[in-house]
Amino acid sequence: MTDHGEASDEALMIAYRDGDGRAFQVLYGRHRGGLYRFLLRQCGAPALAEELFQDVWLNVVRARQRYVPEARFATYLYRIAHNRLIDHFRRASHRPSIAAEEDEDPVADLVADRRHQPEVRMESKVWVERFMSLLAGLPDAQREAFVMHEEAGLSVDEIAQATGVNAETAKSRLRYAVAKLRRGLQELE
Amino acid sequence: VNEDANRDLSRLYRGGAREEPPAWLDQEIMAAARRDVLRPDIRAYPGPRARWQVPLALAAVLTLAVSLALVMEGELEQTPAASSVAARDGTVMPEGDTKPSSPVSQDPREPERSAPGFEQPLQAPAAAASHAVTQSRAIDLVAPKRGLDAESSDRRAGEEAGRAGQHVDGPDAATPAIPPAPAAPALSPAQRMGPILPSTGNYRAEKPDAFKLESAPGGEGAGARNRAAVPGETDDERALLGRDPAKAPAVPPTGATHSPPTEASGGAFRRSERIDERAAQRMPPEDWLREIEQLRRDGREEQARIRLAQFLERFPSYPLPESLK
Repeated sequence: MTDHGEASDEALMIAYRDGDGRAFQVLYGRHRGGLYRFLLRQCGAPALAEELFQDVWLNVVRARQRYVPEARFATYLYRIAHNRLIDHFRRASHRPSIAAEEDEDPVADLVADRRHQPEVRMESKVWVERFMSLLAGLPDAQREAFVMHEEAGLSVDEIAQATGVNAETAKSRLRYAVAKLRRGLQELE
Repeated sequence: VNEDANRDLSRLYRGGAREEPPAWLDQEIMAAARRDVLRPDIRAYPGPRARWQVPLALAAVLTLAVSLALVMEGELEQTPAASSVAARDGTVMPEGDTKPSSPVSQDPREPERSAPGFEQPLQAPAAAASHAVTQSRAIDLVAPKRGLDAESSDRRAGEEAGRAGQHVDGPDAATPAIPPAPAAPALSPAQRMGPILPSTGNYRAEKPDAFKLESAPGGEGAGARNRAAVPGETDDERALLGRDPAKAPAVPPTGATHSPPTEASGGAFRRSERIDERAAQRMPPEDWLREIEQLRRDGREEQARIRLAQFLERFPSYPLPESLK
């Protein structure tokens, strides 16, 4: 059996496309947690997240023969997840709030007083819970950008590609998300 | 500063986001992935059956199309030939028969038609109506098949003969190749066909064999046999052909003379009348006049006047005999 431990995601997906079931197993192991958490952050309910998670992976399985490595596999995977979420929200008549951009400059918040920066208290469980609460309170698009960045390591361009927006929009969403989280932590202090 | 801030946020996030999908979900997804890999890919590796499906389907379609074209071509060749023979000789071929008719009838059922008593039950109104419907159907069925040119040439031949003063004597004169109907001289056209539809030679000749036996729906001979159940025939078919006594229109007892339609038979009679009108429109003028004269001789003046008015509408320039003027 081929050792897929060092292979890239794209190589694994190509191997799976060509009939290598083991390659899919490795690929799934790499992305299962991140994708599940992304879906859970976006929809909020574990049961619904499980259903969407299964749908996304089954889409990958069904589309394996059409897979062409045009981008990183993670971008491809999170694009499927994003589209599935959009379908779900549309059916549920829930419109995700599109980046509620604010007037203030988020960069100004990022250069706040170092004394209030969260790393000094990041060991605390309370801070983690507060942080997760702040994250859940973000607008959907900003939270999506932040979680894609954290879970899959997607760059701004890749987030833009996965969410179907231009790079500037994706960058703006990510910056706003970070700024709001930081400001929220400062307020809680 | 930004990188440090982002790193801090990432640590906080990783501290809180530790959820994992349940194991049963992992198993289901992995099983689906395995199934998809094990499933043979027809598109990528078509089997021998799949490889031959499209060529076989194309070959079948081509074969059907060619054979259909050949059959249609053969029919088209036969139709003008039959029409031209009919136009030249005034002969109408029986359906599906392209050979010229011999003077002696080859139909084994011909004696039944000319058997004594065969024509008599036709005088019953309901029976006449049924017969008229049957004959009208025969005309409607036969006329389109033999082609419009044959029909129009028949009509032209009759009209030209009338204008030239030729005496076209029933079916024998118009259709010399068709054997004469033996019972025809005994009864007038109006008597043969009942009160409305007169018999004409052309239409009698056009009737296919299946309808020849239907010519005496009220009779005890052939007509009675026709009404009897035929093995393998369904009730609906019997009802359509008027053989089912339960579904067929009421037929008076044999020997009843033709009389005006009664209340009971009025509906069927009026229906047959409408159909007969259509058939009568196709009659040659001389037959039409004979029918009118016969109606007058029978004392049915009102009906004769109606028929005469229809005749004048149909043939406005046709010279009327002195008796009708």
